[in-house]
This record gives sequence, structure tokens and C-alpha cells, in this order.
Amino acid sequence: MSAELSRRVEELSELINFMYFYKTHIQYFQSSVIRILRQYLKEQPDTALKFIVKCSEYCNNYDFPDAWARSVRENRLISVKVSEILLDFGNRIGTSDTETQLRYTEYYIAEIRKHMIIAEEKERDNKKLYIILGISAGLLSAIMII
Amino acid sequence: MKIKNSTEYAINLLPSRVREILTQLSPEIMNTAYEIRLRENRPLTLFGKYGTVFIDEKGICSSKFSDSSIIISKDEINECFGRICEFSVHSHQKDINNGFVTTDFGNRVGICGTAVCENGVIRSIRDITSLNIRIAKEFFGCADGLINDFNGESLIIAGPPNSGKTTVLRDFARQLSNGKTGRYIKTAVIDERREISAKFGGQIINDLGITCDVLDSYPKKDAIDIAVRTLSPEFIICDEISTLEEIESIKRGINCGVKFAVTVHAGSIDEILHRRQIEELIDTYSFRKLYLLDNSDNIGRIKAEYDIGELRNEIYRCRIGFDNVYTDRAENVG
Repeated sequence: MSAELSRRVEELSELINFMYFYKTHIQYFQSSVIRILRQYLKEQPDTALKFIVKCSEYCNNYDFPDAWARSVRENRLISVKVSEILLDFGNRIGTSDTETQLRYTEYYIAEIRKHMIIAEEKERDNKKLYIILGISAGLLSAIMII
Repeated sequence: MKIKNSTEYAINLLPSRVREILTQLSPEIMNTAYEIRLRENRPLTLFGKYGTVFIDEKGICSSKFSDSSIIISKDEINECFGRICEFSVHSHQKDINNGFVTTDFGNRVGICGTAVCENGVIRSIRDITSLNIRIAKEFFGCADGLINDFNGESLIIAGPPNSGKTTVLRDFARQLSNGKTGRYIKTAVIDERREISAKFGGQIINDLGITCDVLDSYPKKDAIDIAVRTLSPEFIICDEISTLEEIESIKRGINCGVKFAVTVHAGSIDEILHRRQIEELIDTYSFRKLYLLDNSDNIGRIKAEYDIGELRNEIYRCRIGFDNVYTDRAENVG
């Protein structure tokens, strides 16, 4: 449970990093979305975002919006709410001028950040719970021994 | 599908239904097509060696429109537009506002829709209604006429749309930089619309010779200055000169000792004599010849060639009200 929460925090944090990467590449290079994905994978080959790896593969056979939607839906590790955000993001990226794209990206970064804060809080609470459980179990065993 | 050439790439951009039908067409039709035109709620047309051709659902070509011709829907236009922009409108916004997008392999797609303006400036285009995919072609040797006549001086290539100006310019650049004139000439190609070099996956795919540098996507006026400052070119190749700012840059280049080969839109001697841009170029006293291409099937066919000195005199005659003497004696030298 705790490992699962840590993984989720790590994944959300990387998702935010990816969105900043996307934003930078739109702002300074005006690269196409597929090129941005491929560049990201080149720079982060061990990414925790497996759906991006899948999306990049799907782009060889499908149009980008299809490839994105398929890869997000297939990735069961992402929570339903984050999946919805990503599907919505996929419908918007690449459909407007640079300025609007930057605003969209900022919006989705803020949305994902909210989920990350919740996940971090849960992770902290869980950690506390495990510590309390550990101490309680220790005390209980000490009492039993005495 | 592994894409091998500009025609295959153009077909790959089309809506799925149309793509399937066009891949079944005879290579004779597809390889001689210059344009694929999609118009909302109108029939799909190919334009090429056989004129305007309509295609029906079974892949049968006809020069006459019939009820069974393929009709393009709004969704199909949008699907095609998405592919043309690589689903990245932001990457092509400036081009879209200028009415075209150049795809990989150098195909130029004309875009028609509703302009969204702000203070008289086009901000974007919505409700796309027509797309015109112009298939880029490489014809080796189509600039032989120019090369045989080459004496190291600057030249102007004029012609109407579809006369092969860019194709000739590309071959001219290749032959110059490959040493076909007797020595390897350091050539800089200014390729603002990415049609001359044609890229695929970020790499140049058209052969532009071994001593050629390509500045692609740069605005022409800036690219000429940059090339002169940093590349020490002997010859600069520039397609479709249209603004006076670009001509100012050319003048700066000429004053630095660089020679130019440029193309301009003009379909006849009358148009040549009345185009301000051509007049400005002629007034630089650097250009020696103007070649007028025609838009027949024979790419690069020179319809007429003019000595710039004579043209200059003719322009002066026009200015002071004399009729021009060229109108009736356009020499056919093709």
C-alpha cells in the first residue's frame, strides 16, 4: 500500500515534469507533439510514464489523438481521475496556437498538482500509520514478554 | 507503411477512405499528378498531366464529374488538416496564417477557410473548407538550359504558377554546387518554405549538391544577410521574391559580391515589365538574364529569355508612355 502510494507520487511528479518539458518545447522550438514525445523518451529512457512509451509506438500506426487515447486507457496504473485529465489534455494538445497551448498546459499542470498533493498527504499519513503500528506492535510484544 | 517519396507522403496525409482508393490507382495517374484537391462537400480532384481528374468510389478516373465521384466531407477535411499539421497547429501557425503548410518531402498544402483577424492581422484560420496538396517533384536535368547558358552572373527565373520555377531552381542549385559549370560553386539555398530542400524527419532529402548550404524556414530577408555574413557564399538561391524588404537584402548581398538566382511570379513579358519587384531587381545592375518559363507539361521549358539591359530600357520606355516592343515578339527558345 505504502509502496503503491510512493509510486503514484513519483508518477505524478514525473507527469508534471513531462508537461513542463512539453511546455518548453512548444515555447522555444515549436516542435510537433510527436517529436516532443520522442525527444522526451530519448532524454528519459527509464521514464515511469509507460503510457508515453506506448503512445510513441502507437504513433507509427495511428494518428496522434488516437494513439494518446489508446495508451492512456490501456495504462491501468494511472488513477481514473488522472486518466480523465490526461484524455482531456490529449484532446487539446496540438489543436491551437502556441499561446493557447501554453495556457492549457499550465491548467493541466495545476490539475495534476492537486492530485499529487493529495497523494503526498496520503503517503505521509500512511507512513505515520506504519510508524504508529510498529511502535504499538513493539510495545505489545514487550508487555507480553514481561 | 514505409514512405518512399513525396507522392506516397501526400497520399498518406489524406482521409482514410480516400487514401485507400488512391493507393489502388494506376501509378501512371498518381505519378503524373501535381495536385490533390479536397473541397468540403465537393468532389476530390487530381490535377496533373491529364488535366483535372475525378475519381469515383471504385477508383475509376474520369475527366467528367459524375454522381459516383468521391465527395469530401467536413470531417475528412479536418482529418486531413490534422495530419498535415502533424496534430500540432502551434508548430505551423505562422504558415497557416499565410495560407499554406509545407509538409515533409516538400509538399506544399494550400489552406482555405475563414480568417480570424485582429487589428487587420490574420491571427488564425478556422472552418477549413479547401486543401490543395501540391506534390513536390524532383526533375534532374531540368535546369540544363540555364546551366548551358551560365556565365557566372546573377539571373532571374520568372513563370506563372505550376511552371516549375522551384523545380528548376532546385536543379540549378544542385548543378552549381556539384561543379557542373566547371568548378564547385559555394551555394547557399534560402528555403523559407522548405520546398527546395524538402525534409523528412528533420533531414534534407532532396539532392542539392555537395557544396550547398541550406537555410530553411528563415525569413528570406534575414537569411540572405545571415548567409552573406556567415557562409561566404558565391551564389545565393532564393525562391519567390515578393517583398521590397527581400529585395533590399538582395541588394546588400550584391554589394558584398554575391551572385543570385531568384524566381518571381510573372506569366508574360507584360507582367514582367509591370512588376515593381522585377524592376527593383533589374535596377541593381547585377542581373544579366531573365528566363521566362511556361506551364506546359515539359518542366523547366524556357519560353523566352531576355537580356536585362534590354528589359531595363523597355521599362524606361513604359514609364514614359511608349508601348513595349516585346509584347509581340516573345522569342520561343525552348
